Parts: sequence; structure tokens; C-alpha cells
Amino acid sequence: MRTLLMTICIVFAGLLTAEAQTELKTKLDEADKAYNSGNYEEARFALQQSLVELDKVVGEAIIKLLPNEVSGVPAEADSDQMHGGAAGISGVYVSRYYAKAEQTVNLEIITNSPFLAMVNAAITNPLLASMSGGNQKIVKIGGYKSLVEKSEGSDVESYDIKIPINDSMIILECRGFSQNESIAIGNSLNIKEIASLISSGQ
Amino acid sequence: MKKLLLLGLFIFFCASMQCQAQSKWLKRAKEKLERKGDKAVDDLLNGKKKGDQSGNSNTNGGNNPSGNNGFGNGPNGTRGERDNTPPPVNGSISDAQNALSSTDYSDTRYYIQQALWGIEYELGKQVLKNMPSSIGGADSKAENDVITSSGYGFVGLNISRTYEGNDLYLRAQLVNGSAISSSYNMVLSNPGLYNSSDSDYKATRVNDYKAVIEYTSRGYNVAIPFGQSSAFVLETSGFKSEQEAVAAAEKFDIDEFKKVLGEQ
Repeated sequence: MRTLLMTICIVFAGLLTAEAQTELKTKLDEADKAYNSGNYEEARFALQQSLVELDKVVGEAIIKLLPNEVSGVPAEADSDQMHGGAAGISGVYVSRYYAKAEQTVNLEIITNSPFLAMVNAAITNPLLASMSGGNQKIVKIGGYKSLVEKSEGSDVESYDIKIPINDSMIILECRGFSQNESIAIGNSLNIKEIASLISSGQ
Repeated sequence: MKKLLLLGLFIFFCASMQCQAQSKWLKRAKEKLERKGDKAVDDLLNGKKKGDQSGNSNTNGGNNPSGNNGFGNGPNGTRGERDNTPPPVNGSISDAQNALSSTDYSDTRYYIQQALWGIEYELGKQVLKNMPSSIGGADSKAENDVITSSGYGFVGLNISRTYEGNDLYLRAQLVNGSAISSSYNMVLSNPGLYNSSDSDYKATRVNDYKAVIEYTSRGYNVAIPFGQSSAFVLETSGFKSEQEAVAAAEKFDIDEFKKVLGEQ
């Protein structure tokens, strides 16, 4: 039943992507036409809207790349969330939630946020990790320097992982997993493919 | 067998000689290259080049008489002109469409942003064209004109021009698609913020538009919010009364700005 629901979700996401792509193409055509007729304001509005549509396309493409289960923990079918930033500051937000008994994983991806580039540079600074009293560690996940942090205030062993990719970030909140299991979950993601979608400047 | 052994030894000897010769040749070539490289680096660091030995130097960023490495002015003391002109809009839109066709979303975003900047640059130029060339004896400093587009919703498009002369300094700034414009609207719609005898703000009218005067240590700032997300702000220094500042703001054709920016 769960597999069926996930399949329906994936098919639905595929349809949405196609629709958003068509809409994006229409907006670009509108911008081109308006610019050629000297209507700069209309062209500008169409381009701004095309960025919103692009956020949708990217968000839906990311959702398609997310695994249906991590470390044997299945995704909750209706947990997927996707918000377009529109303003260009907050970027695109995508999330999926995995749960089985006491083990849960909350996966979040925030893309194209210029503020994150600064945060990312700071969090992968080894000095920061060395000052954390052993709670933080920098490891490579999918080839990217990532911050693994022991999460306090949880009844079960928990780790948070932050994988910065230029002006985007993948965040994993793993509850009920050891540090090595959490890192393995990070490595099980298709980071390379996700990175190629979310890297704005590469 | 003996012959074979001798032949083998001969081949080995020839091969080792060749290797040695190659190695010596490579070593010499390497040394030569290193010498040339060092000389080139020395020349660059000393700011010298063959063409400069005549003493003539077409410098834009100034000469480097101290003979230091000339960082900031280029290796030979020259610097090219700055060119901030955006790439052609049509080309960027076409590149975005091509990138989208090949599902390269990263490039699609990049080219859309470039096209957006190109259009906003055109809009900025039109706005500047509609600004007066002088106000109260202060002339516009076209070389200080600035068009800035962040592409972000809450910063938006920012166009500014300065005026100097006759003991006046003015800065006309137009913000479009920006959260700043909303803050002026908020001031106007909240009389409690300015209806006070010690307030630094005061509501006024500039032509047909409601406006806000701000008293600062330098002088008067006149802000006119218009349309859905735009504001015109004239920062002034040197006026003796707020009436003079308002009169200066009235020289700007807000209706025309609205038309250019497609504001309602």
C-alpha cells in the first residue's frame, strides 16, 4: 500500500514538473515577445515569474531524486513539501520525512539562497568543530565537506548533518541512529545529482 | 648465444646512453625555461615590459613610479576600462530557453537572471533620462549615476543620481520592487509616527503625491511612495528650509517614472 502511494506521488510529481516546465517556457516566450516589442516592464514581470516557475521545476526535480527509504526507514507518503522562494532570498525548500518506530529522518533541502553561502563557509570551518567539545565533526559526504553534530535533547541517539553545496544546503535530522549510521544515510542520497540541480553558479 | 648476449648488452648500452642524453637535454631545457620564467616574473613584478622601456605608458589607473609590483593597476601599470553593460537581453533569453530544453536548470537560472538584469538596466536608463539635469543651481553628476538590480524581491531595482553645486548636495534615488518603499507607506498610513512635536518625520504633499519629510543631521529627505512597490527619495543637504527641499522634489516627474516602471 505504501509503495503504491509512493508510486502515485512520484507520477504526480512528474506531471507537475512537466506542467511547471511548460509554464516556464511560456513565461520565457512572453518575456522575449514583450522585450522585442519594447515593453520592458512586461518583459521584466514575465522573467520574474519565470524564476518562480523555475523554482517549482527544480523543487519537483529534487523530490524525484529523493529515496523512498533510508536505512530501511520508509518515507511517509504525504510528508513531501516544496515551497518556491520566489523572492530569490529564501530559495526553494524541499523536505521529506522518514519514520519507522523510534527511528526518524527529516530531510530538508534549501536551494539558491545567497545567505547560505556565507553560513556554509562558516560551518565547514574545522576550527568551529574543534571548539564544540566533541559534539561536532566534519566529514565528507558524497564528496562534500559536511558538518555532523550530535543532537541534544532527544531520548534516542540523534545526529544532525548539514551538507553545504554552494548557496544551497541539505539537512538531515537523524533520530535513533548512531553517528556512522547517520553518515551512511547521508551517503545513500544521490548528492551528485541533487548538487547538479541546485548549484546556481556551477 | 654469446652473440645474442653481446647484442643485448649493446642495445641496453645504447638505450641507457639515449636516456641519459634525453635526461640531460630535458634538464637543460628545464633550466632554460626556469631562467626565462624567472626573468618574466621578475619583469612583471618590477612593472617592466619591453614596450615600456621608452618611458611612455598609456595608463588609466596611473603610473607606478615607486617601481613596486603595481597590484591594482595591472602588471604594467595599466588598467582596462570597466564595462558593466549587461549582455544582450535577447541572447540571454534564448540561452535560457536552450538551457531549459537540455534540462540544465542551473544555466537556465543564470541566463534568466542575466536577462532580468539587462531589462532592469534599460529601465534604469529610461528613469535617469527623465530626471532633471540641474536643480537650484546644482548640476547632475552623470558619472555618479548608479543602476543596481539585486534580482531579489525585497531589494529590487535601485536607481540613483547625484547633484552638486551652489552649496547644495542632492541625491535622487528611486527604488522599485523594494521593501523600503513599503516602509514609507507605513509611515504615511500611521499618523502616530509623525504627528508629534518632536518627531523627525512629517507628512506633506509633493505635486499630487503624499510624501514624507525626514529631518536628518545633514538636511531634509523627501520620500514619495508611489505605485504598488516604488518610492522616490530625494536626500538633500544645503537647503535652508523644507519648502526648498519640497520644491526640489517637485522637479522630478513621478508620473513619468510610474509609466516607465509600469506602476499603477
